[in-house]
Amino acid sequence: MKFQAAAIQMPSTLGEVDENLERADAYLREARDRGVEVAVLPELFNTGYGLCTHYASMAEDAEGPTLRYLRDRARAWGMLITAGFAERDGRHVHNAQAVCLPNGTVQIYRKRHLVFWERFCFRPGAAPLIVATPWGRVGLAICADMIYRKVWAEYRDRIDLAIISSAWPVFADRDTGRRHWLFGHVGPLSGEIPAKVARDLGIPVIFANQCGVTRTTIPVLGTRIADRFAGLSSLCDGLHAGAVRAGGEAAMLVKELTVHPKRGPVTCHFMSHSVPADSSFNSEPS
Amino acid sequence: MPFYVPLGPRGFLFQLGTLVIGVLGGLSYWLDRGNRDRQFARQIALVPLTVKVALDNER
Repeated sequence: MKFQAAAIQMPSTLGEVDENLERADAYLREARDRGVEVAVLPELFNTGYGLCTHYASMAEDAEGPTLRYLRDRARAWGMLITAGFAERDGRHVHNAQAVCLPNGTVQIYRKRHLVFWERFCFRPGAAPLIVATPWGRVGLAICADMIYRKVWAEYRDRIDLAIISSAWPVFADRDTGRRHWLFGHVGPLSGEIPAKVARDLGIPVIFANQCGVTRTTIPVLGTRIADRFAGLSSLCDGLHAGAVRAGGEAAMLVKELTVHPKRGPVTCHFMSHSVPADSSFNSEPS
Repeated sequence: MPFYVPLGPRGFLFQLGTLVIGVLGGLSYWLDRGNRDRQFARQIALVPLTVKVALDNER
């Protein structure tokens, strides 16, 4: 089946949730107007991404304003919307990705591979997530998750579409362009890994990264880089040649993707957790 | 190496660093639980867009 997909590459202002939601809303409206069925927003799009001690004050559960907003949009517009947000679960905060389905269901993936300062602010997730959708089985990953072989080994032959939300920096000084001695070569990987996953697994990959300025902080090494996010969001079609890729500026990529839903188990229940649907839903891929 | 793409010798440093930071970060995260509880109590109010979405849905 073919469908229009969108990777929304946007900057997020740290701590300005309302402003970021307003910005995302404008992109989502444009996506709807262009016939997009699957839209992906970056990691922590609503809170912004950066060393910040206030994530707990911005963290939300499934009934929080960000998820209510995304769930309402997905239901009203018949779209699949995935987006990164700070999730509150009891006394814990997770770097999470919500999958909002047209039937009002929300499923949540929690980032498992926390890097740099993230472990100081978030609790890691414990399991991968595969969501059965009308567009096939969708596997989720957040940013640094995608550099681990195990993540893609777990999804191989079990998903029809991969979605990656990210806030991946360049690891270079934004003024001088000088790369960090250790991580400078990691920045460009954000453009390479989604394409490699699409080729290896033979499935489409939607990769949405943040753009704009940031400050990369690496504890222990005492490193602080006046950095920027790498951008390079992409839509890669696994079996059908061709990918579209953004540059470093804000953009919404739209491309027709083709999925070939396979027969077999529809849902893998090693998921993080989900919020019950308001209505019945046929989870078989069409 | 556990990486999906070759990182070379830097991959080992990355792995070691992630382990060390993970332990220190985990300890810091645990010690910070009281502060998190206080922050949960001071949740930022997000009224404007929520109201707008509700109005949209009425139309």
